[in-house]
Amino acid sequence: MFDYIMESLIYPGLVFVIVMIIFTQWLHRKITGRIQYRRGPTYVGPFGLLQPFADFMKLLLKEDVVSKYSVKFLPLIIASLGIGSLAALLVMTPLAFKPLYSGYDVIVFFYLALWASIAVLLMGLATPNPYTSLGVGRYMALIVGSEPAFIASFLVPVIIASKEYSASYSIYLTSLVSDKLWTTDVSSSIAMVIAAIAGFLALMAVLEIKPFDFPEAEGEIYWGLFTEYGGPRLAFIFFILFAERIVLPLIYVLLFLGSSWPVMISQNYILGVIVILFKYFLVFIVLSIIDNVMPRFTPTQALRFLWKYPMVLSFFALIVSLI
Amino acid sequence: MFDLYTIILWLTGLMVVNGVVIYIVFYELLGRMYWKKLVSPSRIKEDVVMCGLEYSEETLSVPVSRVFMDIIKRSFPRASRIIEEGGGTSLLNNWFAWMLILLAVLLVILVVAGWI
Repeated sequence: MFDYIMESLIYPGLVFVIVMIIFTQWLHRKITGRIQYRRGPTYVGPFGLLQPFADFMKLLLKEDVVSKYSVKFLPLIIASLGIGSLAALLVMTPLAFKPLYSGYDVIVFFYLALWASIAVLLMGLATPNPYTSLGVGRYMALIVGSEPAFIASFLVPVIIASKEYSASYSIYLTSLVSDKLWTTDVSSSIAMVIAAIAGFLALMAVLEIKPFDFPEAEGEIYWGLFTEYGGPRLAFIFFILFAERIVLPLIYVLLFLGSSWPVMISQNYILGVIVILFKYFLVFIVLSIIDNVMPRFTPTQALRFLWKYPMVLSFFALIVSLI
Repeated sequence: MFDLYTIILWLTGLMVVNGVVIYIVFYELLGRMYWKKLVSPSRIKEDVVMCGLEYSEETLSVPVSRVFMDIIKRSFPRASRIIEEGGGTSLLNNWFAWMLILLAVLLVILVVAGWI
């Protein structure tokens, strides 16, 4: 019991997520800087590595100002649970030394992953502002467009692994055999290719990577969902959004990119974890580059795109995997 | 390997433990150590200010459902027009049609499960 609590609080849970957020945000800012002919963070810490941490602390140490028509206490609880759900989720993966898993635990994964989106939505709903309401309406449209494709595509490897390798619809057991799923048979390979493409597009939408960042849309609706927020509450929102960018791409690596392949994580744990993190950073760099070079969709364009391509592709892959 | 019910309880419990730790450390503890000592009460801080004017009305929000429905309608103009103008309403309101679909789904499930 004590082991699981420590795993969820330290590694691969909360402390690990915080360290990863600091490093990935530094990397994201460096990539953004390079693309925009700037140097990116250089001042705080070696190579500017501690700049994201300094910015996070600056927000946390500001006075908490809330308008009198806002909900005061509930957003803090919801945001804390949203971050908590993402940190707890990593205990289900092979990154944990003693993972928590069971048959059909993929349902729990989707339930916990959705908590973060719901937390962001409720944070926006808690403040009265026309721009916030516009942002919440847009975010609801984004969830309706992206979540079905996200769930359908992430189910494909789990279904194939359960059919062929008795993975019992478990995220952990699927990630132990995910390298074999691409070459099991022709229909599995087709389903995996289609699901990987649809899953990546849906992942971009869930993470609000451009062109899907229309719920925030800085220059258009003044940051939408987060217009009224500043100080510790804004720090909590950033915490959720950045933690999502750690956890969901990691799950993508575990299910679609062969997990720790070519190393067997059950035989060599440390090397396996290094391989998984290496693949994760590759995915994160690709996402950062896309985020920097793409323009923004309008809500209608985004919804049409999501329902036309990732959703149709992911449901097609789902049917192929079930046959 | 646990059973599903135990896993749900465990992970929900871990989520709550993480949430409580985050709230206590990042909000309460840092607040008591630093920003709660700096609080300077001001009436204007709690007011909503838009375009340089103070707002004293409570209804400042656009209904979220209206924004959401507007986006959906503009994304799929043809489908929403069919539904609004009644092309699909007759079918959508037809309970017999819905029950027929439900019966067909049940039959398919029974065949797939091998019960008939």
